[in-house]
Amino acid sequence: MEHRVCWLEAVPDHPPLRDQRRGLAFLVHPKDKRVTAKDSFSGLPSQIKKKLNTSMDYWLGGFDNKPGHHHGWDKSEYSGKYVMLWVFKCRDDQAGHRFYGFMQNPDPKRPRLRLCVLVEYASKDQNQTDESILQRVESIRIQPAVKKAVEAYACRLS
Amino acid sequence: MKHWTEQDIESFRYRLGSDFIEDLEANMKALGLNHASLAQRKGVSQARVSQVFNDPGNLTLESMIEWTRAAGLKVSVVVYDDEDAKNELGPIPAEVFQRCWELCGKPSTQWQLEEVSTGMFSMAAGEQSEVVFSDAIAFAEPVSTGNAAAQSQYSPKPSDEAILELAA
Repeated sequence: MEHRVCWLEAVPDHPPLRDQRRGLAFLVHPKDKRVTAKDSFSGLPSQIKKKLNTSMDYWLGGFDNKPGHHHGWDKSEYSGKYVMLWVFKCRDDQAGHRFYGFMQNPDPKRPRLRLCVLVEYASKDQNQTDESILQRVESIRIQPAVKKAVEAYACRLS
Repeated sequence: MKHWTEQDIESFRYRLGSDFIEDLEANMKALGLNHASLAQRKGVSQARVSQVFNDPGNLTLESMIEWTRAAGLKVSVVVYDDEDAKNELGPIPAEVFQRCWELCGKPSTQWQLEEVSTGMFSMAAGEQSEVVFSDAIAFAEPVSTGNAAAQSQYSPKPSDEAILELAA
């Protein structure tokens, strides 16, 4: 069996690819304890999952202007360091469930395709984003092994 | 692979409830209504509005009617075949139907619908596409709700241009 440092797995119960435009996946990185999204998601109560799944549905469907459900960080925030990052959350957000990830266009032949790779789970109770989370996700995003895993996953998407 | 809303009725209902709230809020925004004003109109606390809007999984048809009427709006239930019988893609958000309806000039009767359909078929055939589309919008404007704020929601957007391009 081929040794893999990390790989991507589709988010369960969502289409791996929607309209040839958007896909959602978990990063699995057995040696990196910062990568918590997949295990954390599977351990959430069903009511919270429904809320997060709804937010994911909206993003997959192209409904971008729903900051209560998901959002990114534009060039005006944090000096534009995190423009590739994205977060999914529950609309009411009482317990502050957050799933942080990054965007990538994994296939130059399909310029419209955006893959959102979920990396880290956080539970927070304040509105202000904890920049340390963004720093961690960004540092993971730029790892060569992660880039390779995203490209390998994208090859299987059709 | 089945969509998460296929797991049980509650999951599907939660998504429908969420779509309803998203659509209701978008319409309220266009009318200049916020949670506080809706609470006042409905005679409930603002906390109650937030509670319902943030956890829409328990909405009933009755409560949907109550909330929309409090906002001066109406609600319809739509049945559709999106050729996804196994529900691999989940429900189509209410906002999609709402936008399509607006793009068609908000028809409210069978006759208006037929005129819109005729216009669209003409467009698809490439016959005077811009004129026919404009006519379809023009005829529909007088039959709108009479609510100036709601009418002002309609403005040509890139998606309108895309439709015209498609028809041309």
